[in-house]
Amino acid sequence: MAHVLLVEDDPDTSETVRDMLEFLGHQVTQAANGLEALAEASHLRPDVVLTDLLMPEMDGIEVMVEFGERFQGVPILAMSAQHEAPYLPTAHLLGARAVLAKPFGLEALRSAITTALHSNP
Amino acid sequence: MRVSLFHPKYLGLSALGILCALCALVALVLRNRLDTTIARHRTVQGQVAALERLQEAVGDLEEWMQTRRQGADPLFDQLAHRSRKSIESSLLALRAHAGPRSLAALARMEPTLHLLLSSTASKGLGVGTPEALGPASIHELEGEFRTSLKEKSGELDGLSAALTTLASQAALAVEATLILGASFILGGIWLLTDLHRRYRLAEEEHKAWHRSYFEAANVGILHGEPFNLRLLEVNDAFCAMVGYSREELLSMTVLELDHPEERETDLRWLQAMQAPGGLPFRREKQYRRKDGSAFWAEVSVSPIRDPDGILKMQTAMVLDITERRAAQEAIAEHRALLQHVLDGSDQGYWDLHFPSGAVTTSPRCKELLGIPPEVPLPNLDSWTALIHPEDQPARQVAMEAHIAGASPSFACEARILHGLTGAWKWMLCRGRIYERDASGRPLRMAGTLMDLSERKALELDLARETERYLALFKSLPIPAWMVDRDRKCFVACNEMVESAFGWSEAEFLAFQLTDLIPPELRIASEEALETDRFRVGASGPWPIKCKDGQLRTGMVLSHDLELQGRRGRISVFHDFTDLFTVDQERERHLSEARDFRYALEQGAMITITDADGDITYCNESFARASGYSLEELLGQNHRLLKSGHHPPEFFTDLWDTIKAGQVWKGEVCNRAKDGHLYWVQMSIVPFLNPFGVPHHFLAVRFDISDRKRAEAELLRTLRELEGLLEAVSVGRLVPFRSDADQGTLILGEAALAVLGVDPTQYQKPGDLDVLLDLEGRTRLKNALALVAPGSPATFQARMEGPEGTTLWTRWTILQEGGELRGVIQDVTEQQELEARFRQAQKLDSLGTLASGIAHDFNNLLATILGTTEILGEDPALTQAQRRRIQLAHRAADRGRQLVSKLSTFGRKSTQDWALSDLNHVVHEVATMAGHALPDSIRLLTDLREDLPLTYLDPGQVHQALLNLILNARDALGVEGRITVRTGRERLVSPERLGNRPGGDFIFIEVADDGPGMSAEVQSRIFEPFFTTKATGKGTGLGLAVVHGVVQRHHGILELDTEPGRGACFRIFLPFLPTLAAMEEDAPPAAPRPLGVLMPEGPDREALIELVHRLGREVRPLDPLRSLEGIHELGSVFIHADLAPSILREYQSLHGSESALSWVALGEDPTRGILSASDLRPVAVLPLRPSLRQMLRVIAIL
Repeated sequence: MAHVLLVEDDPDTSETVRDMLEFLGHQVTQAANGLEALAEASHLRPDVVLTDLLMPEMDGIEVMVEFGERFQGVPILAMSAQHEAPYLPTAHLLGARAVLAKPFGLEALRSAITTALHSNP
Repeated sequence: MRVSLFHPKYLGLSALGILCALCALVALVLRNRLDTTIARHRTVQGQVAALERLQEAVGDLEEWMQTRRQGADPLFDQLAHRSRKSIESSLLALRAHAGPRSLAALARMEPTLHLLLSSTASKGLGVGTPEALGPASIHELEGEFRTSLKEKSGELDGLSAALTTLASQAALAVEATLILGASFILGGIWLLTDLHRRYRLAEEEHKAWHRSYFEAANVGILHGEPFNLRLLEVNDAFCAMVGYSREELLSMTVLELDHPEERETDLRWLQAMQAPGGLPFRREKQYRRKDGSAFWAEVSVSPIRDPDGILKMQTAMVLDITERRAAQEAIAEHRALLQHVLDGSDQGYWDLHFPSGAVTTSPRCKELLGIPPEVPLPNLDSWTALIHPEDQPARQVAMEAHIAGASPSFACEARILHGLTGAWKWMLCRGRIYERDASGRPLRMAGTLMDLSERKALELDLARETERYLALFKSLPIPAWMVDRDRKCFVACNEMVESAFGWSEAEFLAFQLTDLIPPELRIASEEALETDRFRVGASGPWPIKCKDGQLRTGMVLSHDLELQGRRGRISVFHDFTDLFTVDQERERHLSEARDFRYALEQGAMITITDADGDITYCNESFARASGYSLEELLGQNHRLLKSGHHPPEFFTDLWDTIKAGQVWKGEVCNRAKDGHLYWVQMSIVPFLNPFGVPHHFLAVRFDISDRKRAEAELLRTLRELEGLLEAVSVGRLVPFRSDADQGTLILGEAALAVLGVDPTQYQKPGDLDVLLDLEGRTRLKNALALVAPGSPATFQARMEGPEGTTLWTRWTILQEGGELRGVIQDVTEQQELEARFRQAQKLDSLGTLASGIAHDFNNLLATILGTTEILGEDPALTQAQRRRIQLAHRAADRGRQLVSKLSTFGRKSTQDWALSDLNHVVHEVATMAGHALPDSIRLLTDLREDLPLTYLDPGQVHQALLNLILNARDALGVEGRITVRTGRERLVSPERLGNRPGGDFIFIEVADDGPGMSAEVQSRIFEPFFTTKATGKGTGLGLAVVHGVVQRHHGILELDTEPGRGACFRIFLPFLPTLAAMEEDAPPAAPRPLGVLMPEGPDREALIELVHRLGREVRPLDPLRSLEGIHELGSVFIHADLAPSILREYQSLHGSESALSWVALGEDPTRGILSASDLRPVAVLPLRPSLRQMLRVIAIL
């Protein structure tokens, strides 16, 4: 049971992923973009951040950089529907504990969250 | 014989002699003393006698005086006078004998005596005077006398005693002397005897020696008379030398034995020696043997003189020096030769004296060193100083090795400073120690100095010459070959051999010389070879067998030369085959003329002309066609028929051809007598004389006027189509005519053949059903309706080609006057290409589209899949609801797969290289292939757990693996088992590796238990388009693709199969150091700067940023000046494309042992790594490595 900050601009996808996370027994806070996520994170202190990479305003890469600087130690998971370089590899490079290629199933999500929570960087 | 005085015998004798001499000396001394004593004795006796007389006289006087005093008595006076006289004489005697003392006494007595005397002298004596002479004085005088007398008597007695002693001593000495002298004399006599005996012995010995020497010596010895030069004695050696017997020689003179040329000289030498004070001489001269032959001898002649210097005889020793002289001459010759060689070879000669370091050099040597001849010779040190410092160590090593005896000679190539030019010149210095002292130290060494720069230039020239010569040989425009004359085989040939004879170089060189000559000529050719007729210069004609069985005849021009020390010959082949063919044709013509003539004359027009073209023969047909009579034609020149149709060049070419002896064939337009033109096909055959010069020409003509007319018509038609023809460049063209009114086509048989239409099926013109389907017919109809003058109509139609194939044709129809013409062009290939291109374009755009929409689709699918999945888990669902949701979920999942597949079309293949888990790929393929396999075929996987990650293109490996599985499926047919296995193996065997480096490999194996393959199939299995599958089922590309993929991965593909035992394909991929391996043993990090050697660009910037963020200093290196940087830093990232060249250079600079840690970066890093040097990378990373990958790599740098 963890508190997951979900950053996703597409409302349908956001809802779906929230459903899936809740189904897996996690508490979810949603943010539509990076700025929102930062605002939420500053008072929520999430256990995990799951962020989309292609977003308006502040995209996932920026989110990761910002989080990396402001909230060190919070594990970040990245997801993207764009499988081509450079998005997912870059996320990996920036320290994402795992990357999820959308669409993904419950099992993939479960193992990603587990990785994020139980592995030390 | 030597006599030593110190010999005991002589020592005794000598001592005796010395003693004897001493005794004699003593005796002599004693005698002297005796004489002195006797003389003294006499004196003293005299004195005594004088004194006694004096005393007596004085007594008389005293008596007288007494008497006188008593009276004078004349008698007494007389007596006194006598006494006086006696005194005077006594005094005189006394004085004569008196010693100094006696004289002193006399002096004392004298006044008294004088007084006495004077008194007695006066006649009147007695008166006055006697008083002065008192009795005292006389007494005194008497006393004196007595004393003196007494003294003298004593002395006399002493003397007498001494005299006695001396006399006895002297007698003794004389006695001893006599005895010793006698002994000495006796000893001397013995000694002489002894000496004589010894001398005799020595003389005997000497004679024996002399005899043996004389007789047995191997030198000739002869004694000769000094003046008449007659031989007195010769030894056997000399007899043997000159070949005369001893008796013969003893009747000859010395000069008779001399070589005539020598006699005068010899005589001069002998006379010089015979002259008083002349010395022995030695000279070399020639003697003449009995048989008249001459020989060289060294002769030493000595004069034998008696003690008075009178020449008794002369003796000569003769030594045969023929061999020595020959050897000397040989040496002299050899030395001269050597000098010539040295001079000729431009080498300098030097001689080194080790102890002093002095060097003697030949003038050439100095010249080579650039030292003027007048400059003093350099010594070793000054010479050594001329050698380039860099070459000094090599010289020293070579010299020390030679001095130590390790090398048979000293040789060193060195740069030596040229004294005049001041430039360094390469020279070769060679030498050999030829004299050593007892302890092996070198004393003298001689050697040569050679200018290497000239030799090198010469070598270069030679190489260039050889190259040029070979190039010339290779590029000769006619066949040429080289032959080894000793082995009688070919050693080289040029390319023209193949084009002329058809034999490849290898085939040609495998032949023996006569193999290429037809059997019937072989013996002749062998003879020719033996007798040199085949050799130098031109020979032939020789027929040479070609590969296609024909013969090429020609002349062989040869030239003998030396080929790498072998006797070689270079030959060129002048092909006269055509000439000979013509020649043979002529011969055949002449021999078979009658037969041919009859046959020919039936249809052909025949003329024979002389070399100028004047007709010497023509047949009826010819005359008939030309319209002239035979009589009109004979003697006329061929020009009579000239039509004017052909340009002058046409005839120039004709004449050039036939005058060269070749057959001319062509079509000629002739003008008949009535002016009409007619076409003939004409062949002109020249009749050649033995020199190949044509003397007559045979012309054979056939009338082709009809054909020409038809052709002219066709040509016109075709010209009309020219514009059309230009437009179509592909495919076969079939001209046709069309009847516009009937809407039909008229196709010739040729056209039908091209179109593959059976002429029997195409019964009547316009039977289009056979050619075109309904669509085609419609299009044709439309086209025919549309066509107008100047505006052709085209359409495409599908036709049935030969053997049921589809033939795509493009029809072009154009109107010309009232006629319709056209061409059908076979555009099947073009059509197929276009279709394929369109397909490719379609796929390409599909891929582009797919990757464009993939993002959106994935997002949509994420919602569907996520939602349906959660929904499916809802326990409240009924069975039916769950099934429906699962259907939706499955459909969405297929959509996901579709997007994924479509995306790959838009991807560039090079981006797919990734550090991958092979098992993962296998798993994916197995899952996918599982669906493609029927249930009766089981797919098993056996994956090794701890397989290291490796770099590969997953898409390609995917493809290759899938092909192998599908192949296995096809091989199995209905049922069976396919096993996919992964593993790790170390390969070292070169048979399996080929030329790849050995090492660790990972492998995938696809095995089936099907029927296996025969050896024949195995050998062809990887050929593209080879298939065992039924037509239409296999492309024959599957395994070729596998092969290609394996090659791209620098892997190995192995096949293990036997008929009936299944087949097993194994793909080995090289295993490289990877992160998995690095995790196990990472050494502690050393914080030093890391170099980055990559082309400028975003990749490099990203890498630098990444490394920087990881807290390490980064230094970008300039690819052009990177080597120092690499060495300095020791740890560097290198782009795989740059790695091979940089590392090779680095390695050559620092060696392969240097500690360089480098990381390969690249899309296909294996390429760079495998071709790089022995310096293996510590890690391999993609061009854009992940943070985690980078972290792990940096930890070990």
